[in-house]
Amino acid sequence: MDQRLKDLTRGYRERMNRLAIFEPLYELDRKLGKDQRGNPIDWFSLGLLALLFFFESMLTRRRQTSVRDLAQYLQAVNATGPIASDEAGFLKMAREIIETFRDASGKKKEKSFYNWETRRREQIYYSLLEVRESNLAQNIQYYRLTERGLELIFATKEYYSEFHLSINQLVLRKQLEKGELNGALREIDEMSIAVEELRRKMLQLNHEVQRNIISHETQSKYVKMLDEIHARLAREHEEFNELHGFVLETKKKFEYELHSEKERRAYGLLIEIAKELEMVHHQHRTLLDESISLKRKAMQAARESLYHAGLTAFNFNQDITSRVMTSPLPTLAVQGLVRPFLGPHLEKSWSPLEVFAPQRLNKAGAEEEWETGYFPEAATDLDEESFFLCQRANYKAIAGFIRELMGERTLIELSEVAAALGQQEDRRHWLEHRSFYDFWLLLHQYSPVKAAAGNREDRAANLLDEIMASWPEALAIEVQEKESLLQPTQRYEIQEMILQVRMKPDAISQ
Amino acid sequence: MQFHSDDIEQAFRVLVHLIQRGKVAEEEEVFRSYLTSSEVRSLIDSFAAETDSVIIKTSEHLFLLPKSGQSIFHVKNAYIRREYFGHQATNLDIYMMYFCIIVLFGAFYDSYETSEATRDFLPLGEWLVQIRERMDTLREHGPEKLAQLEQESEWNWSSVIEYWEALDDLKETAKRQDSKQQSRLGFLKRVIRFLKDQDLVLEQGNDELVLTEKAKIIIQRYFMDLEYNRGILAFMYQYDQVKGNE
Repeated sequence: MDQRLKDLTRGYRERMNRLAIFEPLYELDRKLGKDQRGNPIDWFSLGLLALLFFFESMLTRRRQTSVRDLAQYLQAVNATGPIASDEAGFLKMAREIIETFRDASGKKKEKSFYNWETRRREQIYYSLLEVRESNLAQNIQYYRLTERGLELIFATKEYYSEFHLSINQLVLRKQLEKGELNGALREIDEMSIAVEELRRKMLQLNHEVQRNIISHETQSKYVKMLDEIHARLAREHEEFNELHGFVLETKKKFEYELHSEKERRAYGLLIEIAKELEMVHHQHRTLLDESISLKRKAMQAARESLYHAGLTAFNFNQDITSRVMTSPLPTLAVQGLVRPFLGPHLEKSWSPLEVFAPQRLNKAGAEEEWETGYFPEAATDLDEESFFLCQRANYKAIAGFIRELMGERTLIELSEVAAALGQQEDRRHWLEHRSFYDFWLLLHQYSPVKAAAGNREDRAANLLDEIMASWPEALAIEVQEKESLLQPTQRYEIQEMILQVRMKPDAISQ
Repeated sequence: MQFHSDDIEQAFRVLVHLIQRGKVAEEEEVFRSYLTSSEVRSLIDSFAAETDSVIIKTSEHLFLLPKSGQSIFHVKNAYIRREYFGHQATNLDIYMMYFCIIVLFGAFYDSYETSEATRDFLPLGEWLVQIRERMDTLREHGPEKLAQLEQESEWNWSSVIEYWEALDDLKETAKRQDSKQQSRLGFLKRVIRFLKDQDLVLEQGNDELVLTEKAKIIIQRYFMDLEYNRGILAFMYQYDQVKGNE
């Protein structure tokens, strides 16, 4: 056969895929409903209207659109005809439409066709509506369009959804140039849907990658898809940047011409646009990051699949469920089959030694009670590695500061340190931080602190070593409390303390 | 193979996490030790095999799944009876529940064409219908055959059938259908509670159920894995053999 004729069927499934989603509308068209005056209802156009309504509620970011909302809308547009019905009638219509878009049995819509490219029968599964969230108490479901549903909406306009965002950006720019600010805002809303749709697509891709054992071909398919998404995101990102610059420029231009009420209103709108645009842009940017991590995950999944081999055909209903019932297998076998679904079991046990453990009468959570009577623990949370490292760095900085402040002296009071800190612009915030007070408490608690012996194990000691490191020639540091109370900041109150450094004898003589 | 004691410690830490919660998420530190060190990984895998479980790794989670058959990590029947079915419950309730669960997953994965689920959700009514159909299949074996089979080993199907028959679809006199009632719907509600606690299904209102990601991963990564699938088939086949020999 001619090569050209052979290529004719290329991408047959993809084309079919685009066509299949129109079917629910024709399905609606076959309905034979009549309104209360006996006139036939045009279900086909009513269906499209419903889709547009769901699209609109996505545009306005209304999260909750239930069957009742749709019914109210239908009633409102038909207030002057052509469909005559009452509230209950419209509710029934709305319900029928929703059920056509989203089968009440839960089955996905299925389109079975003969694929001329692969020469076998194939199926396409899709659904147009999905439940976004639900109110279990009142038993209300809120719907939104699925990715395929959006595709259907876009198919009724002249452009492809892949270029949706770019076209939006283009239109927005034109509108801004012409000063059609109201339209511009709507354009941004549409963009935000496109971004949201992209996010959902990526999430779904992520799930698919997670739960499938990927063969080499599928892996390359996913990677190709991800590459495409990434390229698209990168392109759009650039356009966003440009657009953003343009909006800022327009805003600046406006700033000089704020004379009339009208201009002022336009300026307000422009600010709104800039804000919204930034939000969409931000969402878009996070997608760019996500696409990179998604690619990493796909790679990982592929690596993982080296260890496994997946089944090409498995039908749980036929292979497992039917088998159990028709053989039949013993009930015990059913238990065995359910096992993988149920998590591991933890036996709860109790040790008799618990009897000798300290028995507390107070409730759980009030365990600090036990430790009172001792000096308030200055070095809490030290078991957390990150906290500990942070604290160590803080103490080092504080000790270094005090050392600097003291110069050749060997005595200093807390109040002096606090006052000095308060005068330094870049260090004033130290006083707001708990570390500063913990520092003094810790020194006081362990006073006198001797020079590091180098073999201390616990973390508090490790902190003390860090502090001592600021006074390499010191023999010990002593901190004693005085009578008066200090309040360096609103939040903290601490007793006045005096810090004394005792030098090593040879250090003094030098 | 020689292992460093550090590796063994790390493997143990991961395992304890897994046993406690059944899964480890990507953000947790132990996840990384499984990922980066092949020693730790092979240790954990062999520990898991020792307890008749498998480790399923996705790029976001690690799961510890008891294998089909008799794994010691499986939730104890006594615990399920106590938590979900009250004092008078017997193992019959549990078998009935397992039966329903198998039917539920079958309803979602019903195609050789695709490895993805063929439905978005399952309405409660549809679930009931499918259970009834399966019950009918069982009943077709006839009481004699079922009774005869029962003598041979632990075959309780006729009592399961009786159990289900004795229940009404729902209590018509009751205002609300909830899990406390002795009806099929009430029973299913209890099963749903169990499945929700196990993080396998979610309710989305209007008496519709959806599968969680965890459930999908178990089916698509465990049941559809060639190796494990062979194990499952062998497990089922073993019972067919019992029947064949006698």
